[in-house]
Amino acid sequence: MINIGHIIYLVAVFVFLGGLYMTLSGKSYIRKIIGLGIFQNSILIFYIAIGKVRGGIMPIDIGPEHSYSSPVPHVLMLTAIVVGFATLCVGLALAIKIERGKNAGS
Amino acid sequence: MSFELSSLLLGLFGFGLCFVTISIIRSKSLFTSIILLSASSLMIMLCYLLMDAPDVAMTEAAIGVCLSTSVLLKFAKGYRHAEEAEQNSKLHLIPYFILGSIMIYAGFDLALYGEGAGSYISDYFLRHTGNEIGVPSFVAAILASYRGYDTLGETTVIFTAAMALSILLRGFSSKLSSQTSESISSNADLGSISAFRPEGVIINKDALASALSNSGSQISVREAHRSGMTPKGNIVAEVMVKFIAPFILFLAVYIQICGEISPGGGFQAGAIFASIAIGFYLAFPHKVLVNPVRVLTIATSVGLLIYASTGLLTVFLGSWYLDYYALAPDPHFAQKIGIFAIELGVGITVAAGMMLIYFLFDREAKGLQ
Repeated sequence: MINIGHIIYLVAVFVFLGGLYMTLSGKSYIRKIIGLGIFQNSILIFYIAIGKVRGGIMPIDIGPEHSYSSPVPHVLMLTAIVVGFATLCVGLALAIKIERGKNAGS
Repeated sequence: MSFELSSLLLGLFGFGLCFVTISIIRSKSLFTSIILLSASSLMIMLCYLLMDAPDVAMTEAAIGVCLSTSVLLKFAKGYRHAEEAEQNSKLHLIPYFILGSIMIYAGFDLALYGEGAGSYISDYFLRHTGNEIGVPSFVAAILASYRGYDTLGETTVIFTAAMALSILLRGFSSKLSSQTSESISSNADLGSISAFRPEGVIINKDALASALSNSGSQISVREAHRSGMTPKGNIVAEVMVKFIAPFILFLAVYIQICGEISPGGGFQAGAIFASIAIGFYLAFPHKVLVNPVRVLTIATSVGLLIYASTGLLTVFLGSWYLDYYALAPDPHFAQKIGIFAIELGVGITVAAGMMLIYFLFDREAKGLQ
């Protein structure tokens, strides 16, 4: 049945489109990079949302009688956050180099 | 927390997230959009907590809310950008509506929220982790043991990013700081030093100029200013960072070691450890800091080496790469040793990598002022 938790899927789509808009039509590199960060966040929300189980608890083993939320998306998205930050930093460094090249050339 | 209540709160935070995203898109200044990005990461972290993902929430809090905001702010300090031009027509939004409606239409095939699309793979992990690995945290068991090879790749990505930054951002050939530190150390007579304090030496600006001109260096006082040698600092930040640093260190070590029985692990611990160094860089901008690029590069490499060497060790002991069962006779103990070793490697690499990244952006911001 439809419950109010489904709004998280719509939120993920909305943030996806917002990040995509910022990336594609941002006027400076930093806007594009921020848009990329927002875009990545939306994917992470979506993946964690599809792993949630009704009546489940967080995936730390405290006994076989509990039902747990699926741990697989947590693992994948955990590394995705760190990798996203690493690529954000490299993107910022490239933006610095481009700006420095523009200033030196002109 | 009951499912209905958590869904309701999730809906509220999701709505707030949409609002913050619109604000980021419409914001005109860079500073506003960076702070709003941090706020959106905070809301996302709360959403993760409501969706039973404490590991991911901790990582998002450490990296998304704190580290990426500080790195973006350091970047924005030295970045001169043009203001955003106002969009005239709204026609360019039509493709986004079409894309959004396609995605929502495709989303009707998804499982309902809460029904759990985990299917057989998460069932396997939930059922067999207790027997095969013996570690309470499913996330740590999957991350470090079942999918340990993926985590090696992710650690390599962090290492590569830190190395790429040190190549791009003048990591190894900083003439300014090496020259000024040489001239100061060779010509620092007592007249140029105005105060000795436990946290460092405060150098008088005029005496600094005379010392530099005496040494015949070509660097003016303005450039010495820029490298961060002026005696200024925020007393609140200094006291707070000094007070809270041991607790953060304790927390980082705790999360690193207890990552197997509670939410935590190498990634979160490394990010929290790096925040100590970032706090010191923020609170003490006037200190003459030694150049840590060499040490941090070595530390990043050592962390990755620990991880990869654990795999090589298992190969030498007769099994395949990253098979922890070869490390000890008792299977659960062997898994715990293997997980501990690679989490240590991950923690060291992430901590050193994040510190290196922040230090390079910090020096870049100071150099551009």
